[in-house]
Amino acid sequence: MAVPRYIQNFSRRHAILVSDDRRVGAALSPILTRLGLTMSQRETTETDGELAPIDLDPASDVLILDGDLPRMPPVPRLATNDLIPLAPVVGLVGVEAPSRLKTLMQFGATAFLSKPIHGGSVYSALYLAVNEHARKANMMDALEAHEQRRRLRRFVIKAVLKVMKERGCNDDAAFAYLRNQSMHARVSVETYCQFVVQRSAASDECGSDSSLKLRSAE
Amino acid sequence: MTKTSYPIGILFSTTGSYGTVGRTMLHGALMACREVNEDPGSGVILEPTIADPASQLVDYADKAKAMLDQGIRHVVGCYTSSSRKEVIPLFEKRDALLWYPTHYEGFESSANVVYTGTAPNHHMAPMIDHLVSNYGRRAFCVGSNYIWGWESNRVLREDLTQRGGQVLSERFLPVGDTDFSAIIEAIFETRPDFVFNALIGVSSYAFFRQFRAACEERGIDQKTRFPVASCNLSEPELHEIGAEAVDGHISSSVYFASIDTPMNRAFVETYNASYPEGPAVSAEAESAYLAVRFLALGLKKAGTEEARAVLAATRGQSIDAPQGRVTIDPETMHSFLTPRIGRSRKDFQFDILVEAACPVRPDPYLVRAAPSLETVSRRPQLRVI
Repeated sequence: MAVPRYIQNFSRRHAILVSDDRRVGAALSPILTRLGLTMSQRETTETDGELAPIDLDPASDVLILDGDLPRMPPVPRLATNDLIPLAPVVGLVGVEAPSRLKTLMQFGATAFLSKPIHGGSVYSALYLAVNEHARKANMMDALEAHEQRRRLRRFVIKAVLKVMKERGCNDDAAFAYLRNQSMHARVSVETYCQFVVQRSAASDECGSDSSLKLRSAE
Repeated sequence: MTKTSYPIGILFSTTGSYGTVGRTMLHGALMACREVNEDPGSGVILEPTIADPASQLVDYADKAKAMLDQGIRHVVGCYTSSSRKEVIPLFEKRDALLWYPTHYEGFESSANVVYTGTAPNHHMAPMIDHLVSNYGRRAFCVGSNYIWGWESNRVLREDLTQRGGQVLSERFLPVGDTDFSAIIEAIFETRPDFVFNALIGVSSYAFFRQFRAACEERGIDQKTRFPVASCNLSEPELHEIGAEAVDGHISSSVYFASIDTPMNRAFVETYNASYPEGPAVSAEAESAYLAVRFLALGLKKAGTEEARAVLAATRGQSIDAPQGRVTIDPETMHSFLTPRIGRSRKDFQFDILVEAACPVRPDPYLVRAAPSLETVSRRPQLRVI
């Protein structure tokens, strides 16, 4: 397994503050500059106050979302998973009521920063927001990968039965053979079994080896 | 010129486990007070109130609170980061200023602190450059068990890892502990290219003595085979280590008493004449001296002791200091300082081996030096398929 690597330096990142309160921007700007970030502020009263995916660079942007806005703009989500916002979100907490905190979490906040803003809290909030966002995105990717493998289980069963029949072996030996072959092909055993089953089906239909090629799950 | 008097606090532990460094800082601060008070053009008279928390963490907040209760708005003080963290909330609550004159591990920029000591880019990066160029890339880390040791080791580990090196082991001891037999055995077992020392006070002095003695018992020349590098080793501490083990240690600092300039020679002469009983002048003494000098400049320019006004008046101020030009960075309120690498001698001074060409901008969050991703040790990247 790859060692998880935490992001700890936020230089060359850009913070987008979504707040109608200019004082928040004035307080945050010098602190973020010290940490190496640039900052811009969007007010929801502006005509282009809504955030579009094109407004956000997932690799470098951090959203700082004011929980006291009367109406928060929707935060664009990852194309691969609509539970995760496109960029990390820090929730600015003025009123510490459960409804406000819940709303910020629903908008994807993975860290909170209390108002009035205290300089010593900003680095910690950024650290948590950015790294937790990355961790959640990785977890969702892993979940999706496991879900995909679960969907391919039926191919494993079919391939094991096929190998048992062809080789006259028991199920353990058949699975060990398929596992070994999948490792040689550098794909998951589920993907390899899908290939074996589909190749067999195509062969049955055409009477000869089909043009099916094994492609890495990557 | 009419002078205005201002009370200031001086909060250093002049007794206890790191009392030697505290006394040299107190001397540096008092020397600056005297010079400011005697200078007809300074515009201010500083009236210091001195307190000694005796190296006891719990006493810092009480002593600082007592000073603030007296109406003092500016305190020059603290050596350890843990003591600074103890008192900062008080200064923020009362909107007073702490003038912090010590090298520290960074990752802080309080609006109520002016930092005249080194940030990690001043002391860590030059030291690692020197060690890797001269000794190798395999380190053994030993430190006092608090934020200075933890964070210094982290910065070292990340930098070394990026350069293809590694930290073989990290050991931490409570502040004041002095039994290093197990750690010294571990150093001999792991055979590093160098030892990185982030111990403070009596722990550090004991380690130097015990390690030198253990090497001599084994017929090992510690200075060349297991050099010890520190970012907090200064002249008064060399006296505490003692003559038997004092020489050959690497120190990364911005000030050594051996800096050969007319200004520093005059500074050292004045210090030695004022405090003949010691401890010797040190980087920490110079830093405390600078903190008071900058405070006096800020008070004069602001014309008030109100914290926001003094802070604004101090931004961008420069002083020709014993180490060279020192400027307060308006962005971070840390200082532009001149990094140097020294090697200790038998006469309790340092030979200066490396010196930066000009003062270096402070980078307390290492935003210009560190990679964005945490560096991890190299190991096989296995993937389950």
